[in-house]
Amino acid sequence: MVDGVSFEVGESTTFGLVGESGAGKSTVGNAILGLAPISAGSVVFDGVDISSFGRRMPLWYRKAVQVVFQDPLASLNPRMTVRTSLRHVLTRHWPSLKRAAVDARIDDLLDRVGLQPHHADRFPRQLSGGQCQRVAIARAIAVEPRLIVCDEAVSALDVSTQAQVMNLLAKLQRDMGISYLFVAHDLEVVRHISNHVGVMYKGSMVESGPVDEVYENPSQDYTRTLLSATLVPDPAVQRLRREARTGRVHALSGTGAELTPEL
Amino acid sequence: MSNPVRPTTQAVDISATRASAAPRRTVHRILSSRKAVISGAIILGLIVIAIAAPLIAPYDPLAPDPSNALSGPTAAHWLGTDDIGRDTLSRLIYGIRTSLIASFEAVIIAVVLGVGLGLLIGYASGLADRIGMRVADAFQALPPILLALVLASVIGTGLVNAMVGVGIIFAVSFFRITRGEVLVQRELLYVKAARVGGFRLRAILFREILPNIAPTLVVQGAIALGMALLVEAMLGFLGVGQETTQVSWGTMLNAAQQYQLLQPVMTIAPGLAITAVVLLFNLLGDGINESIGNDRNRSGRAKAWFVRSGAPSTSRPPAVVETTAASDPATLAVSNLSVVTGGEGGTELVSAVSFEVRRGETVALVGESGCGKSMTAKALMGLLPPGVAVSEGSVRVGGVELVGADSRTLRDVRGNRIGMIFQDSISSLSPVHTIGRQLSDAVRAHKRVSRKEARRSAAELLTLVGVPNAEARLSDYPHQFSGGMAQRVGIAAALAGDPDVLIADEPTTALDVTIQARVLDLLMELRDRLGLAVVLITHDLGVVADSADRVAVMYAGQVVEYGEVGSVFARPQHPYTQALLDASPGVGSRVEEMATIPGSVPPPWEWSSGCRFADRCAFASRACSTAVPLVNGVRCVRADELQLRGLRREGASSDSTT
Repeated sequence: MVDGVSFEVGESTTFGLVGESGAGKSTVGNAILGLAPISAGSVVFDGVDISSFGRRMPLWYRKAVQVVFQDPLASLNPRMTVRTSLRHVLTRHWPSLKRAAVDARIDDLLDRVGLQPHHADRFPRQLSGGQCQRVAIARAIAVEPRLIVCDEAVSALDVSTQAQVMNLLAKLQRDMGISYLFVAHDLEVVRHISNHVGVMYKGSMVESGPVDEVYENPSQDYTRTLLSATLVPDPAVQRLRREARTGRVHALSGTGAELTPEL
Repeated sequence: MSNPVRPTTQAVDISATRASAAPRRTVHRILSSRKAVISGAIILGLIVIAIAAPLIAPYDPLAPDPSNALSGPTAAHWLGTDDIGRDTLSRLIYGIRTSLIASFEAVIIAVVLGVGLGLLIGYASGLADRIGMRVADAFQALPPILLALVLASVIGTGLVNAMVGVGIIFAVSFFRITRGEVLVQRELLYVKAARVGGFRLRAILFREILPNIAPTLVVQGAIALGMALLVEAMLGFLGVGQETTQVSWGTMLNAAQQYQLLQPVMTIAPGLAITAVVLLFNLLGDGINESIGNDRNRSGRAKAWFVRSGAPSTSRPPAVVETTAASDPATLAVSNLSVVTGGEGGTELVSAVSFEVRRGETVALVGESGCGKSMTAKALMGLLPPGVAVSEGSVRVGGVELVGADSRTLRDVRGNRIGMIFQDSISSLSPVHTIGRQLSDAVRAHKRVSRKEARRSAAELLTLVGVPNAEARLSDYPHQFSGGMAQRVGIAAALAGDPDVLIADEPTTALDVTIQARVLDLLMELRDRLGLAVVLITHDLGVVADSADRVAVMYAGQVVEYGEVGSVFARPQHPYTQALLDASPGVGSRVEEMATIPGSVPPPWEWSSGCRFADRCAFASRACSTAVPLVNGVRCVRADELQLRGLRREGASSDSTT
């Protein structure tokens, strides 16, 4: 499904992966998480090739690489309180931790993601979408990971909540030195949060580089198409983009049918 | 891989109509079901009787008394005696023991075996799953009684051995159900998160997945108990696997059947006992099942589209009114529209919303989820969910009042005057009919034309919305269209009745950016070409900036700011508008910290009587605690003194573009 995609995520940096649905962004994320098979090539983490692990990922890798999914409610077990969910993660990786120490860690984790101690005893359904996403982030950072795969982590959130969660991710990166692989379809969100960006199209990466370079001076037609189609809340800018894009669309429909998957 | 789909605001709105947000645990739900509680209590009672049988039973159930054989009900023997004079009541009481032990034995074996294998094989899937399912098929072909008989002859007679056989057969259905549920659960994100968390297989299966499928299994268990009891009675009746020291209702029935002519009363007690207990177990399963499914089935009875349940003081003029301003058929005029749930004095979901859309114009309703945008759209279409109704205000399309109108007027207006486009067009089309059939049906619903003509109109519609090769695609089914094309088909369906007003509810939210831009371009082109009045409902300020002429910013059921998009975005007067703009990524400069609005949109039952945004507002003052009217398009008491900065942008100033 995904073919010959190569990129690196540096220490304490964010690599954004953009593209449209079916481009294979999430498949790349899943391969890194061991949720999708790798047929060729390698994912190297800290010098270790993870495709050599076989079916079961070693525990150290699970501790090093974590995930935050798109749907905050579905990514939490509906029958567990926040405390139970977090406790299971903590005791899995630190089996000797005493109950009181676990509870203290949970309080600390909730505090880090901006939740109150009383949220620990809530079930996911009793929390808002933004709060659930904070719990999912707390679960991810509970193991003190080096890399978090954020798979459309803010896409399902409302604008104001989205901004809160993006700020939280940035703060955690500063505090804990975590790297992110930030998979998203929203180019502006990716631009805001990433240092480097890769543009995926039909299973391959068509362009990658430092964010500003790619956004200011895209070298590929597809990247330009994506950028001109992105909507920003500025009527003046949109008027220009609309003109550019209606021109573009006409130009493309004649020549580059392969660049326009839907039409 | 899949398209990022935002949860529809509809879900939020409907859940908001529930009086309480607190979820109820399964146990509590079951306890609130009368059926489950009563049948459960009786079964508990039976268990107590079974345990205390030696204390309760008046006679030894095995002691014969030939002098009293085949007696009818007497003062000494309430239910009479059997062929060798044993007391029927005592035997009935001891029979409960045998029945319950046998049923629980079979069901426990079935659960342990079936659920265990179901979890493992369902989670492993692949080859193991295929083998497991074939074996299950083979076992399912055997009747339980047959296997019980075979097993009894192989590993020795006795009820215990016979019920092992029954348990194995029952295990097959538990296996199937568990496997099916696990196949669903293992794809859910929480299970994936558990895998990434490095949990052991045991923890994933028993701690994560099992509690989530347990309710279904409990229902199945209750029903299986009844079935096992029935099988035990059958075995007893056939005389298989019985020991002389055990009393079974089945054996009693067998004896009674032999002496039916001499003592007809004998059959009644065991017969009734078997029927009653099997029924009890089925009732228990039924009750649990209903109480678990409660949340899904619970919705109001009132099928009200446009019901006036509100205060009569604000009632509007009669159904059809020609007003001066709104006589242009392409004009949609909404004034003071309020929507409530729970009848009179219920919770308000939309409060006094007013706006107007003229021919060739787009008005956007924008706001976060839970702000009442979609509920407003549904009210316009008369498609409010059960239990939710318009309480006051007016909706006029070309001068025809829709609030309080009869169903015929409504049907006439829907489709003929107003068309609607949804976020997910595929789901608004029937999957079993071709696009051509559905479009021509839509055309024929509004115009008296022949089938042939309708089909031609359908092809024209598809061409109009830019579906290439329209004629050929008429015979395609909805699933054969990609996301962007499906949305075009949705637009074509909305246009089938040649409407004047088009309501688009998050029409591009589920689409990719490039497709989104094209669908918006198409909408705007159609608006200009056909002179449509478009209501565009969206959460995306970018969509508003791209396509709308005017915007109504909604917060907590109210319009808080209303005006031309350019001036509202450049010089917002309401702090919420400003906050939305600040929170949108990609407005010019890249700052490290994004501006946020603290907290989240309050649910309808927490809306304050004063300014509903005050709790989250950086500029809130004491004056904000009183109700704020919409003055000059702004609902803020401090609108005049606040100097909000609007779009933060580098370079071009928004003033230069007017």
